[in-house]
Amino acid sequence: MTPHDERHEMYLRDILVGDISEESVEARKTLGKCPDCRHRLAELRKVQTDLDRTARERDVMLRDARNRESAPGLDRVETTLRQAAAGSRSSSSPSAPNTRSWRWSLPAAIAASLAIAFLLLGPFSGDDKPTEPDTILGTRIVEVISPVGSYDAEPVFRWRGELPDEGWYEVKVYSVGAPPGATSMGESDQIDEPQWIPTATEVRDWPQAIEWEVRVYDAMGDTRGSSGRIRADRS
Amino acid sequence: MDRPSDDTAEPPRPATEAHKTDLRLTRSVLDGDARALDELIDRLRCVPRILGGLNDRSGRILSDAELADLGQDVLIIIWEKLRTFEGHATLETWAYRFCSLTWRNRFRRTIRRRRLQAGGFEATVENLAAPEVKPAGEFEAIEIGLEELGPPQAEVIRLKHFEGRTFDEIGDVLGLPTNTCKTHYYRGLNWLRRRMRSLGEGG
Repeated sequence: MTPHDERHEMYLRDILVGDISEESVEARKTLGKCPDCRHRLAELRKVQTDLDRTARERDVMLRDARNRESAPGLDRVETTLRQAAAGSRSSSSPSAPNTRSWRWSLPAAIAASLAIAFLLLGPFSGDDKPTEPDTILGTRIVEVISPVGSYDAEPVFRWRGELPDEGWYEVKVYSVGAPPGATSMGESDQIDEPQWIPTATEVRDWPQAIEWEVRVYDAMGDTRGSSGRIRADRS
Repeated sequence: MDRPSDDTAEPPRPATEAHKTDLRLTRSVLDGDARALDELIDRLRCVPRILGGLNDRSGRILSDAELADLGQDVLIIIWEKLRTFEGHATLETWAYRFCSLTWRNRFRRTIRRRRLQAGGFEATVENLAAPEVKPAGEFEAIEIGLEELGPPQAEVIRLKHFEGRTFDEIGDVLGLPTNTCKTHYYRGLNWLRRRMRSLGEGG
């Protein structure tokens, strides 16, 4: 038995990328002497097999989709994408369309107002803070979509905002009136999608009324924008 | 779950030219080309169809209305991500990732809701879904793992296993030396191995 070392790693790499055969004399000699190599190789082969299976599963689903004549929501594709395109023409980047206006328009408008108010009256209004319009405009405004006003047992936190390269979002939930810097009752991981779904267990412990905030961070971990706190009462 | 056999599951791999054409298409759409938008709309009709297929295989856990809403959500996500399409796969293959991940999220959420509605009854994925479906199985672990892994390692692995490319071709696509691609591939596999283990343990 020989200790697993860098040379063994190179063997494993070469076997897994197909540069040398697992059945070659040299490989068998190395693998035969190292239980770590054999164990690792078996696990990595399983990952490769799972990847191939996932690819085949996807291929089957795509072929099935090609042959499928009807599907729920097919009639919404055109409207959704045309509205998205129209939305992006009126702004500098693609934005979500407004098809489900009853779900989005009002909350988004309220949230945008709150966000702008936060930026104008919040952390940038102090004497020692930059107040030039460029700075405000340069800050990424986050438009909250939901929940606004009320939240249910399975809230989906959604927002719109432009994410810097390699940046992330972070959502924090507070009790109403919690002072700045207070510990949050719940928070997301670092996420790169404009959506967060907390677990039912987390939500169960939240109070009747919450305030939540989503912040945008850049790759260096600096805050690049915020929604400000949005209140929602349990429905 | 019975896996599809190779002879029925392997459609011809798309040519690189098709990927480039799709990349031009998305760029044209983003530049405001109306004709390109028409084509994109036509191509993305695959989204509700893919979701319909995923739902069928889960024992139709989502209603038609829920599925239509989900399709719209996926289209919005795709639109917002359109700038990130790099032409490493066809548009449909790229869209499939969003369909699959979003559908699986919704699947889990629906299962959770039904558990709550069942008032403590410990319903499981298995008894709420068709037995041939494993939404929390290795497929999901692979897809979640690849999303978390990110480029360039995930891209190398996707191109290798999902697009059937050789390492030389992957190097051309990503503009990297072949040997670097192999190293990314190996490191990515090792990362996935650890991640899949933790996903398996943590559920």
